[in-house]
Amino acid sequence: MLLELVELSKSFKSGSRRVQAVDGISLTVDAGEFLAIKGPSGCGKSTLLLMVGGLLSPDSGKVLIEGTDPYALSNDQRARFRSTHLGFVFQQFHLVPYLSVLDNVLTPALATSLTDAKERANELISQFGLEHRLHHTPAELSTGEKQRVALARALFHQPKVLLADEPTGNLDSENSEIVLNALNSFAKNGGCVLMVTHDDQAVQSAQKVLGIKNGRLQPQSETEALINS
Amino acid sequence: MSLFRLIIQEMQHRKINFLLGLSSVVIAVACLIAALTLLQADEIQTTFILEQKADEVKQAGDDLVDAMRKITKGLGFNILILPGNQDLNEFHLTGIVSGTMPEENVKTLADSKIVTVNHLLPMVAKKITWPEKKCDVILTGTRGEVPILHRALKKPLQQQVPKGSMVLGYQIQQKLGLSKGDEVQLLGKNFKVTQAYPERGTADDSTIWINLEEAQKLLGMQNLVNAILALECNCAAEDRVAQIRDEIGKILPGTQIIERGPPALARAEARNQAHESAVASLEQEKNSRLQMIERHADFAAVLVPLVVLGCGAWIGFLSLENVRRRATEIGVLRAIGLRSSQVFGIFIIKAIVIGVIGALIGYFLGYGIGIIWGNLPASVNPEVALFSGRWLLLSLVFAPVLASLSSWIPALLAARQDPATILQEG
Repeated sequence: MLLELVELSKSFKSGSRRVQAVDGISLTVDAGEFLAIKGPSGCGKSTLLLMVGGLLSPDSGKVLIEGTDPYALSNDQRARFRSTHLGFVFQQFHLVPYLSVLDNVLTPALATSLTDAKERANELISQFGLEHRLHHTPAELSTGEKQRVALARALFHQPKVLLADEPTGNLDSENSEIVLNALNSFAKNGGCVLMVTHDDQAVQSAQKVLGIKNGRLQPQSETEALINS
Repeated sequence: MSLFRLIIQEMQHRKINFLLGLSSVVIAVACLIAALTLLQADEIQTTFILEQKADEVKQAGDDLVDAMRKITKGLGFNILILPGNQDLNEFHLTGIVSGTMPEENVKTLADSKIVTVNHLLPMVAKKITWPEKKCDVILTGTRGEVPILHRALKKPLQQQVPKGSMVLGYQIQQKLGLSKGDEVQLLGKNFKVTQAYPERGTADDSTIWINLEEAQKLLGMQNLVNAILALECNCAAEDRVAQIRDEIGKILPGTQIIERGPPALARAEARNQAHESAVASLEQEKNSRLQMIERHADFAAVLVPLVVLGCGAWIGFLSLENVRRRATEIGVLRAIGLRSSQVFGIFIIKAIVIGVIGALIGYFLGYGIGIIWGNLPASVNPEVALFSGRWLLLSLVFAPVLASLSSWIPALLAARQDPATILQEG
């Protein structure tokens, strides 16, 4: 078991009331598994992803990645843990605007030392068909190219778990397919993908789909309803 | 990929932010260095002016001394040391000294620690009829001035008359039709006229001077002198003559002291006053220059910290703006695994880079201002005189410290940003 969530809960204060964003979610994901989580806006998908990513500590419950609870680590240890175990793909890509495609892919090297970093980056860039964009900045790329760069960056340091937040949300079907194929390929190579999405095409690509509503995982029947909605 | 590369790329990307930050550092450093360089220029200028003034005062003093020498030489010795047995009434009526004292007295005086007189000149003088020329003259025998042992050797007021030589007063020379080089006989002894004085309008015009020893022999006054002439030193005492009498009286008891030629006193006082006034003027100039430097330093002491504070605040504001604009980037970098200390380092290293570049530009700008406005004398090379490796080093320390301190709080805010909040908002 690569990833295990145990009774994970998180609430936020919104004005005078508390909003329960994630409410007692427990699940397990094995290596090689591609799990999609679908739910309406504000249901707690992104909050769940940030908690899994070691960026948002839960009010209660546990996150275990390869048996390690990142929240039991110090801030610096947790940062190092992220740099070795986790990869992130965001809907808005979040590329560093002033860095070239090559340097953006290489940014994880700032946090962890990798041998042959440049070769690895070039390999990923070729894999995503971006060789001709090597020295271009994000502003010079199309939307699909930006997401491919973000994906290459997420895969650069060979994480165990890839967390994708609406990775196809801004892409056309052709680029969505490229991204989803890459996520599938990552899972097939022994990684674990946790993707939150609205996108039906993306949901179809996942091996397993879970529904989430009001911060809670939904039973299978309701999940199917969510998928079909 | 390194943090430094990331920082340089960011500075190239956000050129305006970088240039505004850099210009703040440049202004702060240039202001500091210009102030220091201009103060240095003030000091160089002051030293130069004071040295020039001191030279002028010294020159004027030397000129006065020289003029004084000429004047006093014209006036002659103004202190007359007479034998105790000299009837002063007779002396005042005839101008002739009949009394005598041992020539040894002059040596005693010269060997003493006397301070009130200079230029000791022993002499004999007697009114005689020059038998060979049948002419009344005052025969004066002098020798070289006797140096006062404890004093520096002074240029003599009157040169000694060598043996066998004769110096003629104006009237004698005119009356006898003698001129330089003529051979004459006096009291059976041969002399050669070596000099004839121009008209002085005093008894000197009717005087002939020969060597003291020869005069003593001719007059039968071996080892005796009639008087010792001296020149009072330029001592500022209210009753100078009394002081001289007191001092000489202790060394040569029984002698009488007479002052001649009061103008010498007036000249001495004028000389003193001129010298004092020149020294006072020099002192005034010095004080005025020091006050000016102090005013400039006071002004710089207010202006420089204000400019530095202003620039520091502006750098802080620019850093804060930079942090705000880079919030998402910071969130992503944290998500990727950068530690908060690395995020802090990104902003502080950037500030240090700006500080170092700003220090170099600012130093040479301030140095240039110093050269242009320093107004150094033409004889001083301002590029060399105002360049300071120490201040360049100071700039290279000061500017990065200023920039990093100003960016400290924004960098801390960046390091403490919650990536989850940023990514949720982004």
